[in-house]
Amino acid sequence: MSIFSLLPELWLLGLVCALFVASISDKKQSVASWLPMAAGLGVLAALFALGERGEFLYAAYKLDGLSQFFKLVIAFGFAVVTGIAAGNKEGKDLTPDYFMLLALSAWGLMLLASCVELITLYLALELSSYSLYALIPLRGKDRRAAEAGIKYILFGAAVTALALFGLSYIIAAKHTTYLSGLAATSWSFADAPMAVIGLTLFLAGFFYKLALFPFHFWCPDVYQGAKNETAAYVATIPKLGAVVVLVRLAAFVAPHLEVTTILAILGAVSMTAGNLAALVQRDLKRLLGFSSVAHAGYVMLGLAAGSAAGMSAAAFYSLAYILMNLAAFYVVCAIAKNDENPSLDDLDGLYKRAPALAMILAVAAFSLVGLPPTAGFAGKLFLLSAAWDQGYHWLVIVAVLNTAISIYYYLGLVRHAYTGESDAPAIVWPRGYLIFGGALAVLVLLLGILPAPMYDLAAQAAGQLHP
Amino acid sequence: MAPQNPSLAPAVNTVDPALIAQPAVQKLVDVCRAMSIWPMTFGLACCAIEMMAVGMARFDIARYGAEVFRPSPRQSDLMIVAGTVNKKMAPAVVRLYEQMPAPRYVMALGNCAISGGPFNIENQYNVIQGVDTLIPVDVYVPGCPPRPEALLEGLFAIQQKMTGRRWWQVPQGGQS
Amino acid sequence: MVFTWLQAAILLFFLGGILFAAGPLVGSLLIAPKAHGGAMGESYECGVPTHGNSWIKFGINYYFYALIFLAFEVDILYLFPVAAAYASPQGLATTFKLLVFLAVLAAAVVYFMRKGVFTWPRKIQVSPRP
Repeated sequence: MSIFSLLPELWLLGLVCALFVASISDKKQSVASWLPMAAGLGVLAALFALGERGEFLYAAYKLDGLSQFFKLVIAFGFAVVTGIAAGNKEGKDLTPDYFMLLALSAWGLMLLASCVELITLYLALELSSYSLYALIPLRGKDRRAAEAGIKYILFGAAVTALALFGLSYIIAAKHTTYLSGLAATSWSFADAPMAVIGLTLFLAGFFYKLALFPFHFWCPDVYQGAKNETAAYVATIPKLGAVVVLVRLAAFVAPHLEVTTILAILGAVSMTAGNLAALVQRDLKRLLGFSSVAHAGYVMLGLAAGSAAGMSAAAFYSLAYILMNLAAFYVVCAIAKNDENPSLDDLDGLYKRAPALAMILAVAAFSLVGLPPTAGFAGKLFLLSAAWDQGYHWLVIVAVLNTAISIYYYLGLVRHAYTGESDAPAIVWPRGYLIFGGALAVLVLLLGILPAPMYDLAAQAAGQLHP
Repeated sequence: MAPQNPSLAPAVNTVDPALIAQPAVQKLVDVCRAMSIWPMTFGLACCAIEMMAVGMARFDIARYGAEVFRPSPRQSDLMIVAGTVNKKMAPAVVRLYEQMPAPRYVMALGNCAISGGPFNIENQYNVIQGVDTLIPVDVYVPGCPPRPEALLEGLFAIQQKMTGRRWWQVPQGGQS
Repeated sequence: MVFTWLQAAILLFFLGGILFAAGPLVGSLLIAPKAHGGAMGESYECGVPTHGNSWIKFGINYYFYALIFLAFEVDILYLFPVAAAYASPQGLATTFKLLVFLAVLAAAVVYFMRKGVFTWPRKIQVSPRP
């Protein structure tokens, strides 16, 4: 249990420091030349640290299977986002400051994955949130980005205050903030009413990051207003942080308790609200925003199930979710001209203008729907079976109906790309960039065809929490 | 005399009486007001120097509670018009008087404020012949300039107007 | 309900505070005569009729200074309980922890300096350094 157990965090911290030095130095050289490579090395570091176990900082910071799994996924997501952003050569606000804030937020999320004590959890959450507050308005001199920033900050601050209030209730009722101590006590409303209310409020903070109904109102506006690359980050990595904390917290509520019922109901409403609202969207990022709301609902299926299978399904689905979302946002960033928001009409004729991008978009869309042989299908399979096994039949039926509804708008993307006609010129990207996107699509398919290795990792991780 | 300029109209001075007008309460409150009059600095000419002298250590006005000279009419009780009022300054005098909250008092300090002073001549084209043509004056302190002790006597006269009696010793030369 | 003296004292202080603020306002409403008419209702602008808008633009640098002050003030507040908690530290570990905290703050100050927040501009500019 040496300092090298913390290699993923330390590497990312080193990246943050390097970017800080780059942001205060006078040299105009863009960091895009070395950053994706360094972030890729961070993924390797996380791979090596996958088996590390230990406890640091008075047992508030714990390395177990779940934390190392999520650190790997966060490192991977961060590397992909930097790859997408680095490809945008003429992006003038992709300054070192931008990447520093991105890296800081990812670092906060890595810390979040390992925290097993409520106050440290809150601190890590705030670390990642504040970096995002500064990141979202960064979009040239665009007013939409400022509006998105204000919405994110105000909603986020209010929900975080609620979460802190709930934390105070938990401390008052249970007299401990360590998750291990909290897991040993009873969480039914009859036994600990104040603690259950506190837990619900505390969870609200993480529901906000996950964009679960009714804390989702920021999601479409922020995706639409922020830069495409920022939206790619916000859509994927913070959700991982929210899921890992929710997995830890949901591990100590048994199925069919009041809290789990709340999770199930919120999940069902979130799915429905997200899917129905996405049906009428024309702006691509806004559509993907509402789809995020719906997917947050699907993740709730696993968490409401509460069993080890449910937790592992939620963890696996979050990995599949960021893969397919990153692939979708990769296409969004690639077809956007001049940093504008692409709409459904901009997808017209993509099969002629950029066949590779159309293919990647198709894979991403099929995966988001949940059609085999993609990662989305595998994830939904695990989630639905976990929820059904625990007796949540109504929830499974709602989920399946929602999947059917979502087919319209996801495959609408494919329809526009393959059957739409347009006279716009071909989109040219360097070969390396297209191979990078292709690799993402291949990973999505691979995860769907061979989910077993990653699912076993997730099951082992969640199994330690919920034997 | 030159034709009357509409901008030299006298001040509007409508004052509603207090809600609680019982003499007992009002007497007590009048004594409190008299012991902490807040003058407004309105030094326009040489009499202002005498006003400054009265604020300093030798002829200390702080002894009588009136040290806090407020630049704003909104916070003052007493407007000490110290100096010559020209036609250019007249609208400002009227405006500031109207912006003082009740109960408000005016002291005309020096001959120029009382009647135009040395500038009180026939066919005067610029100096207002006495500030009481513009605003209602409560106490006139004559002199060119009056000594600081005279200003203090004017203050005592204001206090007498507020409370009905003089509170301080009469100086040995007799009452003015 | 049974009140302890401490609770009664807190209530009395609270009440006293409110009366201290509200008393003179209510008092002047009841006891003082009211003057009105003329220029009483208009804004005070040194005796001249008001002209121009009262909502004017002022330099944003004042805002920056206030923000930075607030941020570092909160950090200074953090140092007080740290000093109280580690009143008699063993070895250098506590000092090191505190130095790490101060180093992060110093990095933030360096960042501000390089971005030009501390140079008072001749012309107000809002765009950041590229």
